[in-house]
Amino acid sequence: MKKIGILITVVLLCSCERPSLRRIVRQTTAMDTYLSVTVYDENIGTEQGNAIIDSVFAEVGRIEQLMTDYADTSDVGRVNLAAGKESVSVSQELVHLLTLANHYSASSNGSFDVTVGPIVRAWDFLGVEHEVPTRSRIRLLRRLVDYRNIVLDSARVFLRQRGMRLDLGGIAKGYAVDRSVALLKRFGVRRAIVDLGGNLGVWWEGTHALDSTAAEILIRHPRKEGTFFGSFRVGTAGISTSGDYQRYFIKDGVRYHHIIDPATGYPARDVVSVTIVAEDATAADALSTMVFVLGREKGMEFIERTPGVEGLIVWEEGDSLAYRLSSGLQGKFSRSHD
Amino acid sequence: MTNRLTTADIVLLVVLTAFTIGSFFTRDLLASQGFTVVVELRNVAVYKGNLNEERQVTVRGGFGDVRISIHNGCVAVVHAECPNKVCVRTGWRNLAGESIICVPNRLVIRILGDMPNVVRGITG
Repeated sequence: MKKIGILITVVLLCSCERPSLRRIVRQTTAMDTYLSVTVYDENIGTEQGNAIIDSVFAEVGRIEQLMTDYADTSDVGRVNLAAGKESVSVSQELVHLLTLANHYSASSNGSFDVTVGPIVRAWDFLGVEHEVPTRSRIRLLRRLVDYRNIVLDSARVFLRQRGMRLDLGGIAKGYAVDRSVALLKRFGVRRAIVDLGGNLGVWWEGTHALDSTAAEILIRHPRKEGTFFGSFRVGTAGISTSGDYQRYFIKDGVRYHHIIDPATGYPARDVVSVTIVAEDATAADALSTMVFVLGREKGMEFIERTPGVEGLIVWEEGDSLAYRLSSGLQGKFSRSHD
Repeated sequence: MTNRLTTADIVLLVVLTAFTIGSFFTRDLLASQGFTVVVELRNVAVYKGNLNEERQVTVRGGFGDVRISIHNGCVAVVHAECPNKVCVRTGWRNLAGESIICVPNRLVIRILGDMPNVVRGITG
């Protein structure tokens, strides 16, 4: 009897399944990319979940309307229009984000700079016809790039030089993800992932960044579309990747991508992809751009000396890719087979 | 009659236990086979097929032709004439639950199938 009992137990064990995850997932487009919100919370019903996600979509739309530089009526658009002429009254959110951006600029000696807008416009990565701007044009536009020429007070922004342009493409999506996560928390959601064009906000109650294993994060392969370079697990965290494969064009056999080094006016060349894990998505977004521009040596040094930040840097070595992990990701990253 | 386990019983137990543990890890992998791609235009399904079939699909949206490529177990919009081209820049997708959206053309491409029983985010 005892023997039969053991066998029955094993057979029953075989038939068991892990409890399936209840999830509500919705997608849309926002901020010139895709937006996906997934709520994992058995206490949130479908109707309630959909209403919450609608609110998140609306919040991201609101931030887009404030931060886009493609509309003259947005806060950023109005500041750009008034560059060199007058200061502009803006939302406290924009002042907060520009203060943060200036902090990242100062700590990287200008490798991250939201005044890179005139050069980004000249490259026109969103356009249909792609031309490499002339050297003289780049040289001219570089004179307009300097975060120290942003004058901030509590509710106003002034760009000192005529022709300057803010471009928050390296930080605003992360901020929108953080605002979305904050909203989800306010609605009582205990677990969720917000994905705005690969800028991820993982909210998992009671967990913390790399100390936890709530979610698996897959990193897209920089050179093989549809495959993944590797993965690691996180708890509540912000994750962002900057890659030379995300927005680019190829002219005369040369890849020109959208991550511009403010010091040269040309795409940064040392690495092909940087993934950052931080405590929030705003930091992850800005730092992935900054570390990409800093390159593998200075970039990794920056990651290592910044508390709460970890990262993966990938670069080309001949025909293959090499990579380096920050100390906190060592032993936690799993490389996929190419 | 005795309650003692024989060698054959122990072998059977080991095999069943290994199968049980192994199935936890392979289930998600096996679930990724046989995903279905559904293309919806203005909320109407205009194409449905297997993600593992090599296929080029062209649909006529409000902003002209949208060319969709299903290749190597992935799907992508490879050409669109919409203004912002978010759909093209979304790149290749290959996981159940993922989708590609073109708002101007009111086009949605969904990958249907058993979603892996894991919490997963994709960056890059």
